[in-house]
Amino acid sequence: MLKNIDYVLGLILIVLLIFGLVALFSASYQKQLDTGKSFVLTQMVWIFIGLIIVFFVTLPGYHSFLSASYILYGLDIFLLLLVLVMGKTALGAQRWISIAGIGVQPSEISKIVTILALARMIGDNPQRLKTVRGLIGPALMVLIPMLLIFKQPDLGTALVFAPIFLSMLWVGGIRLKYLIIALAAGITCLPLGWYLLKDYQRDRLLVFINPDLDPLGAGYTINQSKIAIGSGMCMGKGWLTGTQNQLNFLPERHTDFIFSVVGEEWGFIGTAIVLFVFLLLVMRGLKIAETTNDISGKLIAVGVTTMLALHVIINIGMTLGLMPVVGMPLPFISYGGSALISNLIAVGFLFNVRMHKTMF
Amino acid sequence: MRLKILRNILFLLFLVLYAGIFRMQIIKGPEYFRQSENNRIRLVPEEASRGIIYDRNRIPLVENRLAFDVAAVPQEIEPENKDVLFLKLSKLINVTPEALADTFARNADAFFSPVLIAGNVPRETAFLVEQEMAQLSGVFIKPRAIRYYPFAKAAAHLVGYVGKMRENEYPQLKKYGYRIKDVIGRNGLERAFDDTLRGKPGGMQLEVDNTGHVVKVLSYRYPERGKDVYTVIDIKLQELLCGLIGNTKGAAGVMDADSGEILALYSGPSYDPNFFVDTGKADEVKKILRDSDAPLINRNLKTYPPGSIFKIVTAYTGLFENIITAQSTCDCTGEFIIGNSTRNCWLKSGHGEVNVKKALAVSCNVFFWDVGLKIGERILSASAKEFGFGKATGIELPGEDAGTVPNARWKNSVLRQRWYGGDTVNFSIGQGYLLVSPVQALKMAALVANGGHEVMPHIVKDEKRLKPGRNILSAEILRVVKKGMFAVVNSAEGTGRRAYLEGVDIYAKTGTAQVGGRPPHAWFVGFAEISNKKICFAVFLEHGGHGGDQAADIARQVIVYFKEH
Repeated sequence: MLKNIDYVLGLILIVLLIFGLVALFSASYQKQLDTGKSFVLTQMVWIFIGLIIVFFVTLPGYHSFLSASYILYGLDIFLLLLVLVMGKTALGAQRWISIAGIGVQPSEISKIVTILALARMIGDNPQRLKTVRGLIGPALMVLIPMLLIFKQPDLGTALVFAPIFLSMLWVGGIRLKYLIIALAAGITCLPLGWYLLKDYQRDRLLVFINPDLDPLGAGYTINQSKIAIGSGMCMGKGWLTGTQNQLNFLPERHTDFIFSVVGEEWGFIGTAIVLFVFLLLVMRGLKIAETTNDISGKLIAVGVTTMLALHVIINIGMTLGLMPVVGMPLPFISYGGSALISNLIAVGFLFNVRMHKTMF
Repeated sequence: MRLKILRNILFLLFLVLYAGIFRMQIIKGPEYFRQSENNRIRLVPEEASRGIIYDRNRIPLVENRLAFDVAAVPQEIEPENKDVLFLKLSKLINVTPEALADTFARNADAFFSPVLIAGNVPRETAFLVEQEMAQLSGVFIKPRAIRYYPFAKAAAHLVGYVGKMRENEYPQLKKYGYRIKDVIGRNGLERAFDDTLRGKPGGMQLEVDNTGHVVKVLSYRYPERGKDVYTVIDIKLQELLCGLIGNTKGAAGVMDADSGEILALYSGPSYDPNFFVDTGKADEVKKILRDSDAPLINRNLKTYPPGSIFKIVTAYTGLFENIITAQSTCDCTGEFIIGNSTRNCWLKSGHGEVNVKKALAVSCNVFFWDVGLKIGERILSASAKEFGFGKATGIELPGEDAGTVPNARWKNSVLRQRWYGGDTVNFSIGQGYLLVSPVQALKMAALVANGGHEVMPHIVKDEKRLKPGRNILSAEILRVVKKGMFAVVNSAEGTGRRAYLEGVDIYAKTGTAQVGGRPPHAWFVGFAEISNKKICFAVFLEHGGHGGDQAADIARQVIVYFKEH
């Protein structure tokens, strides 16, 4: 079994984690002085915990998880409801609940749990994707957690559900006609969504359309992020010497805006390399999906790869001002336990699918 | 197959990100870099001290004195302690705490840059604040150089004064490297030589964080002190003039005829330039600005009808154009007929037979009317311009007027009127449209004194100007004119005999310029030859009566000064 470990994927993961720690060290270089807390050390603890979890996620074949997926799904919905009732508020949104004193963001886990449950539902009966009635089940399965997360509100995570779902349906063999109808329905619903948004979310979207609308308020972060990345030019200002970063002009730089730190200090060379490693990760994930004959395994690989790719695209697009600010960390680089562990679990399933593909 | 399409879609999205970073970091990188530098770098300027203006004996005409400002640095004041701090400070500097808080709030600019709370406090107060410093965190005494004019009224028009730049002046001055809030020369040499005097401001380049707090000092440049200005003024003589004229409306200048060095130049009434520097003297400044005698005006540079002093030009031109000779005479009966009107000489009984020398000595109008008419307006005006009338002399002070030298063409184009014979008659004795400034009259005296060499009146030492200029007038003819001017002072019948001084050769011409309805302007213009030097003078008293009276007395005192020194 060990000979089936995907060493390429492992190498990609390690490189990304190291990039992350190095960038995080710089992003928290000044800040840790006043908080007294080392973000790097905390992050390393999370990585350690995450890798142990990955080990246990990889050890049993993914089919055991598929079998448990409906129960996990039910548990996840319960947790999401719990967040709405008694969650902690972070930046105007309830995303956290405390389990044994540790803050947990169930919306991160729910993406993976939903991928597993969906993979099982389609894997159990691939023919259901050929009929409208058969599509109702998978659609509901995605829409329920999506709406609960949207309600928290965590716009970014909620919106990631749709593309993951669509890509899994696509690879699962949905008729193109239905896919187009689903897409059209989704797009028609977008204006309705505007009324469900909170004020600060509307501000972010308006600011995305016109960043000069409120340069000291909602537009401040995105302007400072663009200045940081752009001012890195080709070679970057050098590690620990980015002025936007070190002089605190860049808010949220250890979490959502860590790519701006990379851009400022490592320049175009740095951002291009980081982006390239992420591209390798995505291509590797799809390669694993391609080489897996089992439909459920293939769908798991497609789901988690799409999820990771979207995290990267949304986060970087956001720091570049190509997308609205939605609150999405950069996988393996940004500081934060929940996102890190759920992304590690996602990669764990890639390892798992790759390792166990021949067993079934 | 379907996987391949998914892969291509994701690949395409990554390509968009690549395009994004390429555009921002490579194409627009330099622009963003500039923005990031603007984010973090702040400049705190430090003023350069201004240069000193000296007189010819190295006596400073303006000094830099130490003044003490009370200032506070916002980032060093705890917001919760602010009220207590202002209360403590208010007792020390005798200003209400509300007023202090108000000034502080109004002047506050950036966290790191000191805010002026009280300007120019007395030395004792400054020491008190300094002593209590430990309890006044964030507050400090900022020494500052301010201008002090030790000779006050005596040299006001020469030296001028400085003031803060006004907002509406900034757009024009910006391109010369001035910054808003700069102190600039407002008048006199302070203004004319501002560029030399002001020096180069230094300052600190600070790195600040997102809250505007200083992180570190990036660089520091010492302010470069302004250059000194060395004048050729003799401040003792200047003070003498000030004492002689005082608050009388008038002007007087003394100049070396060969070099054009101005030794003294006083305009009355004068003002104390120190009022304009000290912030606490707004009332006095207002009084100066509202004074109907206009003390701010330098009357040496303004133009007035010259009256008979212009007869020097008429006499020279008549001789030069061979209309008269030194010997030719004219019979002054006291009456002169021009066209169908009759004019009287100032001496109704007439001067009898006069030649040019006597005509100058007694200032006979009839003689010069006759000569003037024979010369004609065209040649007379051209000659007046040779003497330097009608254009600024180029003295360094701001606000010099060029004056008017009329002729037929000028009258036609400006007044749209014909030139009459009567105009020529007026012109020839310095009345009518002719307007000259005391400095121009001084230059005329110098031309006669130095034998017709071009000379430029100047206040600031200039080696290049010490060489005699090109010859523009005939020395031979000027010798005849000089004889007439000598007779003005040294003959029994001369109009300027009150200026007579034993043992000194004084040459002069009086002028009593009629101005309708009010007392005439008095002029006394000439020069004295003392130990190889030709000292010119031009005394002008606005509505000062006869030129041979008070104006002559003042000139005499000036020559006495040179005789004794």
